[in-house]
Formats: sequence, C-alpha cells, structure tokens
Amino acid sequence: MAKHDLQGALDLLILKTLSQLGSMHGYGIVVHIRRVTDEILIVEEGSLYPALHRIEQSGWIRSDWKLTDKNRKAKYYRLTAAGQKELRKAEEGFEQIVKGVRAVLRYVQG
Amino acid sequence: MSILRRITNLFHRSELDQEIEAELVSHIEMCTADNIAAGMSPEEARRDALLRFGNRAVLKERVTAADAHVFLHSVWQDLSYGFRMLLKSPGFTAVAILTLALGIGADTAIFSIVDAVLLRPLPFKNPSRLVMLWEGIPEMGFPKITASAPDIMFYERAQKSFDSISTFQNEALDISGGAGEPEIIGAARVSASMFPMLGVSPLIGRTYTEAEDKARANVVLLSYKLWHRRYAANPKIVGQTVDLNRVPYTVLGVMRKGFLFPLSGPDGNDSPADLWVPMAFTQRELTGWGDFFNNSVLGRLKPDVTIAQAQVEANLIAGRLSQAYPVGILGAFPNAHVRIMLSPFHEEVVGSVQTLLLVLMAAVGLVLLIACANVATLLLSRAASRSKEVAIRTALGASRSRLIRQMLTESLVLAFAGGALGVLIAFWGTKGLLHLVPPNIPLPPTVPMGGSVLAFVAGVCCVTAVVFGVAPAFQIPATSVQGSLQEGGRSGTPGHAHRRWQDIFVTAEFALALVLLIGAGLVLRSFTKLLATNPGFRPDHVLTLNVPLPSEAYPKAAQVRGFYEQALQRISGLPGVESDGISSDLPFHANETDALQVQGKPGKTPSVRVSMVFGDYLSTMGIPLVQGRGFTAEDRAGSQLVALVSEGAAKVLWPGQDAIGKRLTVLGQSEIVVGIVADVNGGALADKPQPHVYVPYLQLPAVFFGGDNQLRAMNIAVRTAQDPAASTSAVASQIHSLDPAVAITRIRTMNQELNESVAGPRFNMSLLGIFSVAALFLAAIGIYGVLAYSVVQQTHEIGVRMALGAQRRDVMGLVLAHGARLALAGIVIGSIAAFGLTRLMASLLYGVSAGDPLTFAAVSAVLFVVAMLACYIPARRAVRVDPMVALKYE
Repeated sequence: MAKHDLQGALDLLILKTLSQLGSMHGYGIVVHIRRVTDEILIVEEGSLYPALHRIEQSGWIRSDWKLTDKNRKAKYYRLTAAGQKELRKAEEGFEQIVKGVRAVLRYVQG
Repeated sequence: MSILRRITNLFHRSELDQEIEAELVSHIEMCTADNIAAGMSPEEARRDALLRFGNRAVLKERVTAADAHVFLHSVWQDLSYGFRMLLKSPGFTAVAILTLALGIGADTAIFSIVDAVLLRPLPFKNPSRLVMLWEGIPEMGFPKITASAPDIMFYERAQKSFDSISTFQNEALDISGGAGEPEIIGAARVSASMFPMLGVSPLIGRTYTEAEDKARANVVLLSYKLWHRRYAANPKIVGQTVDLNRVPYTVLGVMRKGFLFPLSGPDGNDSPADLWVPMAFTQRELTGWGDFFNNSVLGRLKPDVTIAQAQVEANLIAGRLSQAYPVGILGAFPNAHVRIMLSPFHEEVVGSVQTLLLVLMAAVGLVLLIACANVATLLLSRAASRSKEVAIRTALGASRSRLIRQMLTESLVLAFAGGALGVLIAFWGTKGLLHLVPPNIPLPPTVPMGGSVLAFVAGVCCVTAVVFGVAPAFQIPATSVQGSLQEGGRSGTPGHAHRRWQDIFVTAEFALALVLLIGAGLVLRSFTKLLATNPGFRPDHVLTLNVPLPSEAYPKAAQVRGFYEQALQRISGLPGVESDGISSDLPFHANETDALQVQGKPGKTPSVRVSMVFGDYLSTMGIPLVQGRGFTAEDRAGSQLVALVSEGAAKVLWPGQDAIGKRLTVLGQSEIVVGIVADVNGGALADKPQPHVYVPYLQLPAVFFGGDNQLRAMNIAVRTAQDPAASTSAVASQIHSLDPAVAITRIRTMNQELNESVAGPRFNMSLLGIFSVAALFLAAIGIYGVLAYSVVQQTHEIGVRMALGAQRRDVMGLVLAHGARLALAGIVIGSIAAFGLTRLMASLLYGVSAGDPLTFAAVSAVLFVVAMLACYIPARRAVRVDPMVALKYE
C-alpha cells in the first residue's frame, strides 16, 4: 500500500528508522530523524502517533512496553515481516516519486 | 488477525485510551528530560514538550480515529450522546416524535383503507373485464335504473360484445329448519352463469347449473358465515334441505370464506348475501314489459371488445328494444325511449365513496406536509440553538464527518422513535377507522395495514428528519469555526438562512392548515345544516318493525290484510302505545316509485314515490297534514279511491292550483286527492324529498299481493309514551301471538334511522375534524417553536432595547408582530389555495357553497387566534428578559 504522497513519506521515514534502529519508542524515532536529517525534517508529534497507530493496525510494526536505558517505561516499536516487505515497496515507490519530481524540476524547454 | 484485533479493541476502548495516554506521557517525560539536559529550566522544558503536542485531547482523538474500530465505537458513542441530548430537551423530543408519529400513523391508517377500497382489484377472475349494464328512461324521471327481465333477454340475444351476461337481485328470505329461530336472511337470486363468470368455486359441494336455474329448481348455496353460524360448519350439510319462505330447498354447496356477492356500492342490489338461489325468472317477470326494473346485470366483455365499442352496440340494440315494446305501452308513453348504459364494475363499486376517499387522501397529504414542515422547523431551531456547541466541538478537534455522523444519528433516533410510535398509531388507527365507517361505505371485511404505504410515509418523514437534522452540520463546519462561535455568541444576526427557511416553513404550514380547516369547516357547516333540516316527521318515540309474510303461508291477499289489521289492533291495546300504523315504506327507505299520470295532462308522467298506508300511520310518524283530510277507516275496498299528496308533489303536479279534489292515476288506479301532507325524505337527508303520493293499503286490488311484493312485507310503526325501544318485546310478542313462525326484521327506532341517515356525513366530519385539529395543533407548535427560538436568539437585542428604554409592551409587540406576519401570510396563501381546492369536494357539502365566506372568515379568525396564543408564550418570555443578564450573557 505504497502511497505516493506525503503521508506515505512519513510512513516510509518511520519504517526505515525502525529497520535501522531495530526497536525504538516514538520519542526516539523523532529524535533519530531530526539528527539524521540535520534538523531538515522534524516530525511533529501530532502526526507521529496517529501514523504509528495506523501502521501498527496495518500489521507492519509491533509494539511492547520496555524500560529505556534511563529506566523509564516506554512503548517500543519494531518491524514485522510484513513491515519489511512494505518498507521495500515504499522505498521503490519513493524512488519513483523522486525520479518523477526530479524530471519535472530539470525539465528545460527547447 | 488485524480484524480480530480491531474487534477486540472495541471492547477495550478505555484500556486503549489509557495506553495512548501512557505513551504520550512517556514521550513528554523523555522530551522534558532532554530539554533539561539541553539546559532549560524544568518548567520551560515541560512547557516546550507539551507545546509540541498542542492539544493532547485532540491528538488522542486523532490517534484513536486512525483505528478502524473507532467507527463502530463512535456509532455507539453517537447513539448514547444522541439519546442524552434528546433527553436533555424533552419538550423538543416529545413534540418532534409526536409530530412524526402522527404524520406516519394517521397517514398509513387512511391510506390502508383507501388502498383496500379504491385501489385493490375486485376479488374475481380478471375483474377489469366485468361491466355492469343499466337501463335509463330519462323522459319518465329514471336516468339510470336496474333492468327489467324482458329487456335483459332482448339485449342478451342481440349483443355480440359479451362472453356472458348474468343477473342478480337482492332478496330477503325467511329461513327455518336447522338450528336456531326462524329469521330473515339477506339472500340473492343469482344466474347460474355468474359463478363461472366471476371465476369462483364453492368450498364444498357445487354451484347450480344453467339447467337447474331454468327449471326453477329449489336449490341453495350457503355463505361460509351462515354455514358456521347456523349449521355449526357441518360438512354433511350438502344434500340436506333448509326451509326458505317455508319451502324446502336442497343445499348444493357452501361458498368459500370471504366470498362477497353482490358487492356493496352500485345502485340497487348491493347487499352481500348470506345465501344464493337461482335467478329463476318467473313467467310474470319474463313477460313484464316496462315493469320490474329491479335486476342488476353484470357481464364479462369479450377479450377483444372495449367498453366503448360495446356501448355503441348497446345504443343500437336499445333503439330496436324501444320498438319491440308491446303496443299498449308504446301508446301510453309515446315519448319514452329505453336506453342501455354500460359502466365498469369496479367504478360502480367504488364510485359512491370516491370523492370522500379522495378528499381524505388530500387531507392526509396535507397533514403529511405539515408534519414534515414542522419537523424541519423544529430541527432547524434546534440546530441553530446548538451552533455554539458544534463550533466548540469543532475547535476541540471533532472532525466534520464525525459531527455529521453524530447529527445523523440523532435524527435517526428521532425518526425511528417517531416511526415506531407511528406504526402503533397506524395499527390502532386502521382498526378504529373501520369502526367509524358507516355501513353504506363498502369495505372488505379485513383491511391489512399497507406495508408499502407505511414504508412510503415513514420514508418521507424520516428523510425530512435526516435532511434537516444533518444540514446544519454541513453548514457550520463549512464556515470558519471562529465565525460560528461569533455568530452563536453574538446574537445580532444569527443564522439568517435558518430563520428565512423557518419563516417559509411556518407560513407554508399555516397555509396548509388553513386549507384543511376550511375543508373541515365546510363539512361541519354542512352537517349542522343537515341536522337542522326538517325531516318532515317527528322521529322521537317511534318504533318500527318489518314483518314479511311469505306467500307460501299466506297465499291470499285477504290473509295478508287480515294479519296486519289484527296485528295493529293487538298492538294498539298494549299499555304505553299511543298510536300505530302500517306503511309499505319508511322515511329514508322509499321503495316504490311509479310513473304518475295527472288527469287532463296526458303525456306528462313524472315519477313519484308511492306509499301504501293504513291505520294511524301519518299521525304515528308525526307527518303533519297541511291541508284537507287524512285517511280514515272508511277508506277501504269498495269506497271512493283516494290519495294524499306531499306539498312538493302538489307544487309539481298542479302549480299555482289547489290540489284537493284533483284526479291522478298511480298503480293503475285513478284516485282523487283528499289531502296534502308535509314532504318526507325517502332517501338521504341531504337529498331533496321526491314528490310523494300516499294511497290506502286497503284499497289496493288483490293482484298486487302476489309473489314477494312489498305489500306482504309491511312496516309497522308504533308511537309510544316512553322509550320506544323498551316496547320492542311487547310488540313482538303480540305479532307472534298471531303466528309464532313469522320473522320480524329491521327493528328500529326512528331516531336510530335518523342517526344512520347522517352517519355518512358524520363520518366525513369526524375524519376531517380529526385531521384539521391535528393540523391546527402542528401549526401552533410550529409557530411557537420558531418564535421561541427567535426570542432566545434575540435575547441580546431585546436586552439592549430595554436598556435603551423600550417598554415591555414594545418588546411584546415586536415578537407578536413577527408571529402575526407569518400567520397572516399563511392565511392569505391558504385562503387562495382553499378557494381553488374546496370546489372539488362540493359533492360532500350540503346547504353551503364551497366558497362559503362565513366559513372562510371564521376559520381564518380561529387560526389567527391560535397563532397569537402560540406566540404569546415566547413573547412573555421576551418581556421577562433582564437587560443586565442579557448584556452580561455575552
């Protein structure tokens, strides 16, 4: 269900982050994306949790309550097998979008 | 898997809520910790963390909304929220549900009856091909009459349009044998061909054959009802004999349950019978040219013949038929020509009540429209007063679809509650209406509640409720939330669109209600005029009984005369009896019409009603003598033949002259007029009394007493000092002391007869009355709702006005003027519509014109007063507005 839109992009970011970090809580995902993108992409908390919830309902991620390294209870998310597959599809879809957008941006008349 | 999870989530909503909350809290805590680590103060750090979330409640709602299970859950939430909101304003809820229930219930009940009577095909094989045949001799005052046997035979031989033609005639038969007392049974003589023509077969046994009919066999078919009532549904009844008019008849079969024939409705023979015997025309009937016009004729058209084609053929045959009449009759009535007319059976059966049913359907339609307009107005008022609530919920993050869903749920709860109550009203209403229906309106024995009708009406009402319930939800989120909040809070210009629509609906309601009220008012005025009509006799303290004497037991005229003379003597000896008399017919029940000839005016033969009377009939019935003398005991066989005429007859027969002493010829004898009496209705009270001639019973020749002539089925009238009904058994025992086997029928007081004669108009009046009161009620609620709402909306404005020195009177005037404008607009529009519509119901009116100015004025005044009363309550609320509170309310 690769969506070629911005919501799809947020899903992709979340799935990719989880595939890189293995298992992470919501706050960790926000921090990770911000750090990795040099604060170019800042995921709003208001968008993150609905997205996490939706993705979990789709069966692409699973969650467990665990203790953080600072001994705080937090909900950790990790990819499922279906999530791995979805991630590959989303990545391909995203490449298509990037290609498409780039083609439009580079188009020169004549 | 995930579906399973969503469903289990449904039952763990609160758990899920807590989990989301915990997750958000942990996020905020981590964020705060990081902020502190980055050097913020703890308070700053926490505020920053919270800010990132914006509204946590909103976020939570959005998180849960992501879940599919939320849909189902929110439906339940909406339902319970809807119930709570509806219960919070019980007045609104009750009125809305009642409005819906009334509209749905009343309409379904009436439509069910209309459907059963008007729209359902007759319960026979291919009923659209069934056609009735009538004769007409307009030159003699008979535009449309049942047919005479020789004419039917002539037509049947000549025609090529019909597959079969059958004849039937109602008859009262004295039944004895088997279980039970001797009694008079409503029977019918019916041609053998009728049963196959209608496509009906008996439940047990067989119907009679053409051969049995021709041979005048004494055979009989029983109705299912009679078979059960009198013979305990004995299956061995076939082949047994029963005595009809004291002659044994063999039972051939029992017809199926629910078989009705003749059907009520057409003129003449229209009483469903309890037993059927062969038509078996007598020799006298077959040769009675120009006589015995009392046979109803039903035929089945050939498949390729239209009724118009058959009528063309009938006209040609009628021309030849007139020429075929015996020379004697042709000579006596040179200007009279027989016509033959065909009309569809279905039209004949429903024709008599068509106007009434159409008027009722129109009334029902109006009530439906008013109910819908009322529901719309109520919901608009409510939505407008809730705009603030909606705006707040929008600001708090409820999505637009969620709001629409919730309003939809609320409307549906209303619609279903109204619908359910409506079904109950429809169910009881259908039953109740059937009891109200007067006997002269033909109805099938059971009227099922029309499912399709119910679905239609309920659909219309519910769609209205849903459309107007949900419309505001579309409107409000579409405008900016801020705008709604401002509009809802500041009361300067609240929902202009709403108010315009409400004004339109209320005006329309008033117009519709006025049309209904005027219709009901005209019927009411007709009814009071009808009751005030002088029936021409004194109905109080009079008991009447019909005592038929079968020719088999009383073959001679002298025996018949002797029986009645003795009966009169014995009854007059009873204590409490003031006078008694005998007549061949009774008020409202004329049964003999004859062509009268006036001496010295040949060729002119008006038809008159003829009554044969003796004893003190006129004084017993309280029919005043206007001039001359009444009949005496001397007016008997052998003395001078005399007659009395009614005032109407005297005016028609001898205009501008004294009728006394003039000579006339009725029933084949020449009589001299000795007195003039008041006009008495022979039919419905609303009809103009026919010219009427009375002749002494004892002066009629023996030839009139043959067969089943009404001269051997006379009515005994008794005037009593006390309640006439109380004398019934004493009178009956005197009659039975002469002959215990004689059957007594139609035991009535004349007050009963009078009541029955106005039962039809009373029924019309009650139904239209019920509808118009409902309409008035609904319209009053409508205008009240609108004004109450506008007062609430204008609280601020009213407060300002009062703060600026406006008097209470001014404020009240402001509110009342708004109501008056709406009511007057509705009354003007309604009057114009009513003026056009009421002429369609002219046939239901008596003594008033369809445009009766008094009714229009009075009804408009009533409606206006009711409107003002409904406006008064909100107006009072307006003047109680405390300026300080109103201004602070901002």
